[in-house]
Amino acid sequence: MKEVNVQALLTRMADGDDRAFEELYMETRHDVYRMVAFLIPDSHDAVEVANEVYVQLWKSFRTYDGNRPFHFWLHGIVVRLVNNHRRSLWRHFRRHDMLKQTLRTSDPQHHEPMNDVETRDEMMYQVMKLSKKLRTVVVLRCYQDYSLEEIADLLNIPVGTVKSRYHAAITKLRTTWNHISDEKVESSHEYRITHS
Amino acid sequence: MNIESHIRKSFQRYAPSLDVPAELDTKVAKGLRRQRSRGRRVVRKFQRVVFIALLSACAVTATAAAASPEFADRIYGSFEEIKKNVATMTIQQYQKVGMKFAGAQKTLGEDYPVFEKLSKQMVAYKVEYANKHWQVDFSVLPPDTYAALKQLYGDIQPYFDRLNDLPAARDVLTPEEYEIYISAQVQRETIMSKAGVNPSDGPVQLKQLPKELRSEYKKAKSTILGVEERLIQMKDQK
Repeated sequence: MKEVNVQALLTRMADGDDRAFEELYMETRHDVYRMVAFLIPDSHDAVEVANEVYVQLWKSFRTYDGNRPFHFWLHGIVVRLVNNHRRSLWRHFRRHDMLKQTLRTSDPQHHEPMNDVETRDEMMYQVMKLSKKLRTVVVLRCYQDYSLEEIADLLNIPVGTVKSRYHAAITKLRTTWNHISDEKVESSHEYRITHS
Repeated sequence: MNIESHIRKSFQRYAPSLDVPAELDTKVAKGLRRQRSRGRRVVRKFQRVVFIALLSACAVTATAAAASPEFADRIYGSFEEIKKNVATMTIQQYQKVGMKFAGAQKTLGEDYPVFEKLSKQMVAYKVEYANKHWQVDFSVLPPDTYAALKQLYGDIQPYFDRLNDLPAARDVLTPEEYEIYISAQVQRETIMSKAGVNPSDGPVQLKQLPKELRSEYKKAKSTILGVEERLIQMKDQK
């Protein structure tokens, strides 16, 4: 996402050019959807929240302070709406209903972005198993490459809290990863013994 | 490879496989259409410039005054000078003002007299300093008058916000933000006055303005719309 392009699009949106919003969506949709998908593993809910991000963007783009990077402001909206989503208990009920509906319809086009991750990437599977708070910090640090201070700003929490969450997440992932690696070594050793 | 590098590589490897579902494209497109239509419905019922222009025009027309003596008595006495400035007035315009005032009285309740007093002051300034479209060029005002009129805009704005069924900007914004908001209104009116544009004719298009004033106008308009969006959002959240 190039900041220069975004600024031009925002200026056109402020002038009432609706086409500019569509271009901004095309420019940012991968970044927004992927970030939401990493924070909310359920694909139905990820789509809902990503959609809400754009509704919010449409409503509040005039309040964007041009002195800060646009993606930082946009990610602030993402993080806020993801947190709102988590707080909304009613969504859990709705998700349950939607899941049942999905199972009934068995739409082959539909994919669960993070649920089949185990077969693709063991590390990603472990990241997605982290608690929401720890995973959020890991996503912002390792996927979006934000500094700990920027993450604290985005999440509106002290830097110390970000550091401790990040440290806890890394420790947990390291422990799990070492354990998995050891198991792999052992199983390959057993394989060699069996076939020798 | 340390664990952090491993995690980063996993994200890099996995992220491209997360394609945006077509469902999101559809939802956003629908949402945009809904927001656009909703945006058109959010029409300000009380626009200061239009309201003041009608109020001023109404105050000098004998026929109109006869149609509503109570209203005419309250306003007319203060603004006899206005006769020199307004050429024509239709009964429809008069009735519109009458309805606006009746509505304002109902909405504002006991605060209505203050609003009427501020409106009279506003009209007095407009008669003295505005062009034929009731737009004041603040850049040519004496410093005292500039400050007094800007202060008046700041004081009357909360009443217009209430009449538009919005939270009062003065309560929502910080003092600094409110100052910027009112300054943007002053700036916009100055530009419209210089350009000779009549805002009562409808939304002002950039092409109606001289090129050298367009960027200033866009900035002022953006500030004003930003505040209005914020007020509408706050109203929606209630």
